[in-house]
Amino acid sequence: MAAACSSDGDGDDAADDEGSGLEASGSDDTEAEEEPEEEPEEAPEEEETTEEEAPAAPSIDPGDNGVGAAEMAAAISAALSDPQAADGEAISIGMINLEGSPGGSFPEIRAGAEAAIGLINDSMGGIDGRPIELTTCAHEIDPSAAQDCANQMVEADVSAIFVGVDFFTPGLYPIWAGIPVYNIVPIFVPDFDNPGAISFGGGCVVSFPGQMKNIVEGGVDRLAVIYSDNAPGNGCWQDTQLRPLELLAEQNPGFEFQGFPEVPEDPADNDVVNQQVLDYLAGAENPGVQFGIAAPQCAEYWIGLREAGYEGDIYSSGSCDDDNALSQAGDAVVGVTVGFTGYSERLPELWQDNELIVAEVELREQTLDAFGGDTPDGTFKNAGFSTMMTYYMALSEVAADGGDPGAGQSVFDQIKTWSGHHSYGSPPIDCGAAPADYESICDYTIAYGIWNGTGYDLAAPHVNNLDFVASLPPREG
Amino acid sequence: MSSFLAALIIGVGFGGFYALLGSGVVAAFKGSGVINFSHAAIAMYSAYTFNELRGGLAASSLDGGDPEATLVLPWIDFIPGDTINIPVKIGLGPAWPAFPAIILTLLVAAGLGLMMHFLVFRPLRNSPALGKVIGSVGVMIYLQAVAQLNFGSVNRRDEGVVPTSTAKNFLGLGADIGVDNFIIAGIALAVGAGLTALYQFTRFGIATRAADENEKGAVLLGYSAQRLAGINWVLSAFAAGIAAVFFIQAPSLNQEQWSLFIVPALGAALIGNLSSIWMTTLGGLGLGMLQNGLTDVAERQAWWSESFLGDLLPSAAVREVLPLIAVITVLFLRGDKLPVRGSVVERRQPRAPKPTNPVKSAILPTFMALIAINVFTGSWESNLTATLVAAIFMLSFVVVVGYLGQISLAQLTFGGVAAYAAIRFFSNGEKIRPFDLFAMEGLDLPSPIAFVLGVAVAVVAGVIVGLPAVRVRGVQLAVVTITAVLAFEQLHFQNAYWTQDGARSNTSIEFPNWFGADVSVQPIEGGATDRWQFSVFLLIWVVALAIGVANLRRGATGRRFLAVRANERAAAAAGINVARTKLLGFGIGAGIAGIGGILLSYKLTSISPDSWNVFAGLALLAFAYLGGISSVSGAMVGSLLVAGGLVDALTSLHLDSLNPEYFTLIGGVGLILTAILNPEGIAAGNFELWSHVIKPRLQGLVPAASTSTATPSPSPATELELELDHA
Repeated sequence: MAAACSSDGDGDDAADDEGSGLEASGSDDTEAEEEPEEEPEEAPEEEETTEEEAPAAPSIDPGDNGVGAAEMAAAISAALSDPQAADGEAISIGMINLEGSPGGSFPEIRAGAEAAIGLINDSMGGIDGRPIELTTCAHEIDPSAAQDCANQMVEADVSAIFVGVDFFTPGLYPIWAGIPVYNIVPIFVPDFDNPGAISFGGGCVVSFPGQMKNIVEGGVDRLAVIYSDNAPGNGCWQDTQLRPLELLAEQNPGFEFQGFPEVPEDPADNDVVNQQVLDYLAGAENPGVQFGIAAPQCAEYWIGLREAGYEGDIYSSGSCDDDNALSQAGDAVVGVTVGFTGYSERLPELWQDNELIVAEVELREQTLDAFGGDTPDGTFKNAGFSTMMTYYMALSEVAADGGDPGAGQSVFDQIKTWSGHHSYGSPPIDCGAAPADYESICDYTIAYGIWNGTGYDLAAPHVNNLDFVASLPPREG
Repeated sequence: MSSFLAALIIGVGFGGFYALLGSGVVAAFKGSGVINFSHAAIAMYSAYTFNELRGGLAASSLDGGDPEATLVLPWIDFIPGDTINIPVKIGLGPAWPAFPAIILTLLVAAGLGLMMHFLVFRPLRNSPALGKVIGSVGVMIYLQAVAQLNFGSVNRRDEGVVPTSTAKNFLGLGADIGVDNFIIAGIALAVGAGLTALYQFTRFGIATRAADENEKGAVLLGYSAQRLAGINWVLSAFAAGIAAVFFIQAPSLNQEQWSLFIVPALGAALIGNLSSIWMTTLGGLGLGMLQNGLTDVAERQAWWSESFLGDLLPSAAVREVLPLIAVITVLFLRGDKLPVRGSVVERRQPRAPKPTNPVKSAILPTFMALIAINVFTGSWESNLTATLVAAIFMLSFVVVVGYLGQISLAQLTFGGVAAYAAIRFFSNGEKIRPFDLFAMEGLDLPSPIAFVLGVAVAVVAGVIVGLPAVRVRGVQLAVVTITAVLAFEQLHFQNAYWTQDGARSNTSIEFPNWFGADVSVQPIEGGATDRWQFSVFLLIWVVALAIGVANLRRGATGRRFLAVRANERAAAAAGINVARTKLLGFGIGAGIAGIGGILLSYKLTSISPDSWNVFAGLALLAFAYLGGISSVSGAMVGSLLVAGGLVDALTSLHLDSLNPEYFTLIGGVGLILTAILNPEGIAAGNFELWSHVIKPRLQGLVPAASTSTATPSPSPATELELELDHA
């Protein structure tokens, strides 16, 4: 069986067993739930005690976090002080994700999304009391299994489909004709310019052009780009790395670059690639290496380059911000610059003075710690969580306007009107302002941190790169 | 030149690893006559074991804490509930230092070797080559699945035990070369020397060589062939364990990557003629060095990268093609001298029963399939079409492996060749679907003509891969074909010269229109797959090919195939042109696989090089064998079992939340058990049940009480053998 499908109205199995993250951490007693028959007489006392000790609703300053920030602040406040479970008619959404293939597996995205759904249903009262039912389908790197998952979404009659990471989306969109699609990590051109798709985060199209610009502005005069020689790697290279680099080289005559494909499935090519990179950078005044590779390869190349004697700057995208990769690389990753599209708990300088973001990051971490499973923490897990929480905001808005949050197209249309709108755990987003080539992308901001061994030091705060992305030369073909 | 030399020298690290693995392959072959396709998987399991003893992923966790050593045993706790637990993970306290971790890892590897001997290859000792290949493939599938279940799919990297310092500007070549490369090469040489001495100068080694040359003779001299085999399995697994613990610090690897190292390891073993450890060691080292050196040349030298050479053989392909070149060269030069290890008794090949009336036999299944097409919708329809496509690939295995007796692992690859060719013939430079990543240039031919030409290209590919079969047979041919799979992946599927942007991306497939009939899997306006029209189109192909393959078996060509399978010399003496017969079989098999490949591409609507990867091909062979590799009915049963097929759909109804790896694991175990207990597959078992139990009872010919003791009457298959003998 190559694809595994499951449906869970509460999000996570762990959440089913143990209650929501908020309950586990504060306002409820799990033991009282487990042994109600043995000590029935104590239950009222406990309830009373709980009521007495219930924290007052914290007042969260929504700050300058965009439209809808106040509502999110209020929702978090209510969830913390008086968690409510949803028990109405479920709103059905679906999610497919690439998992289980050694060549590409991102279970942390689903874990993050399921944790968020658990939080929404168990503590935030759902959407006007209606829980979200998330049907998930994980598949391996197998086009047939991906197609099966796509068909299962249609059969489940979901109102929206969320895509974690998938190497086959261009072939799946036709199957999903008429169903809104939300890409959590957009990769291919059709993920950027599909009128029926939205991404709250930017994926390649934000991470790479913005980082290239930042690299050149930082004074790097010769840049080696190591990218994955597979479908997503080449997609990102061709469209979101090569094009901005060509433009930057044109605008900055002293700047040059070269791409170095690396085959993820072939560990034997690492030494050769490293040597080629070092040869290319030899003699450069300010050399730099930029990664367009997945987390397992990040660790390999951080270590390989440092062991080979490279001492220049290394820049990585958020895909490298992964517990396993960072821990495997150890000291080799210290000093590496990583780009972030949202707010990372490992880079508190970005958000520690913003009360709403502090609350959002803490709530996210609390929930993921409790129910995120043993999948690695990092940018992708956060993205899964934040995407679902941002979608919750859209559902709530539709419901507040008297619409049906179960009608996927209404929600999609609502999001398309967002301008300067709050996005959970991220700077504000615009979902209707991008040029046609990138109309699916809502967020063009990226910040940079430098890994210090335990967290990131702020290198540059969020900068919106929409103008730069929009100025890129048109694609060929 | 200096960069080439530096690249060559850097290659000794991987070369040493290949050499260590290759030595283990040779040791296993010497001991039991098995070319162990799961050998690199043993290294994989050893590497993960070592990593777990050193603290596993927690050893360098960002969260800090005290990493703990865990011994993870190579099985799962398959008993539901907590009443009885089979121990799988045993906590051993704080993370272990390197030395004791190495010792325990090697013991685990040795244990794996012993288990493989006693549980798999000892029972298969008298099986034909195919049974042993299937057994080792089953072990590989099992180990990969159990590793995924017990360790997870996260890449592992360990600081290892080998220093990672670099030799600056080594020999003035301008490159800093990791000292670990030299250490791994040194260990490979030491292990090679040790094993060579063991086989040359010890009583055990001499006895092993004697059994390798002539097992019956060794037995007559008083040696226990099976004891020798067991010790050699331990030695072989030990070599894999050593390779793992000294290589683990090099790259961050996952299970599949580890297992794929079997290809260069087989290349090294063949350079060593499957008998010389020393030559294998040198071959492995040379292979690693050449891979690195030539990759560097292909990448840097304009005369390569910017010429037709760079188009046909890009740098990424060099690494995969070199083992193929080495294997084919060795086989062509020394094919007739390669040892074919005998055994005391060799079980006969699976029977290939002669179909009596293929058209009549096809009526009921066709009718049932038509009902299913009419009833099924959504994912059930998709499961049905997956089954039908798989049936076509299974039929290609029946022709090449079942009838002709040539072990080909490349049938899915031939399908890919045809699919990529057909879409090139069809394409006209315009995008097919609105979300296509690119438009492909092509000849703008109608679907049926593109289809036929695509199949023709697959036939050519099949004949090319089959050429070595003229010189070699059995497991050595399996080595050629698995190497060819990886080479085709790089030379064709991932080569932009042939597949344009599809080399690294998803290639959209046409909406096929056959003589005015839209037979595409998906509505042109979009929506869920699979349309019933596509299912009917597939069914027509399956029925036609099944009848064709059955008739092939009934005719003179089929009899020639079986004769070649049974005994090539005898067949040649009977006037059969063995070479031509083999190439004909490969061509027919590749043609059928090509049809399957194009139809699979129709179903998928877009294809990528991953669609045809080596593990998917092995899984198809596995299911073909499970069903019954030498009969059309076996092919049909096998097709029901494939991932995404109808049996998968049925089990998913009740076991939806079960990790898919459990199915893989069960598949691996099922494959091993089938190879040992029922090498003729499920279909043959059902045939026996029908012929000797159910049918006589229905006809009232045999009293129910006596069926268990009744002597079976000669089966049609036995009659067939008699007929063939007379022919």
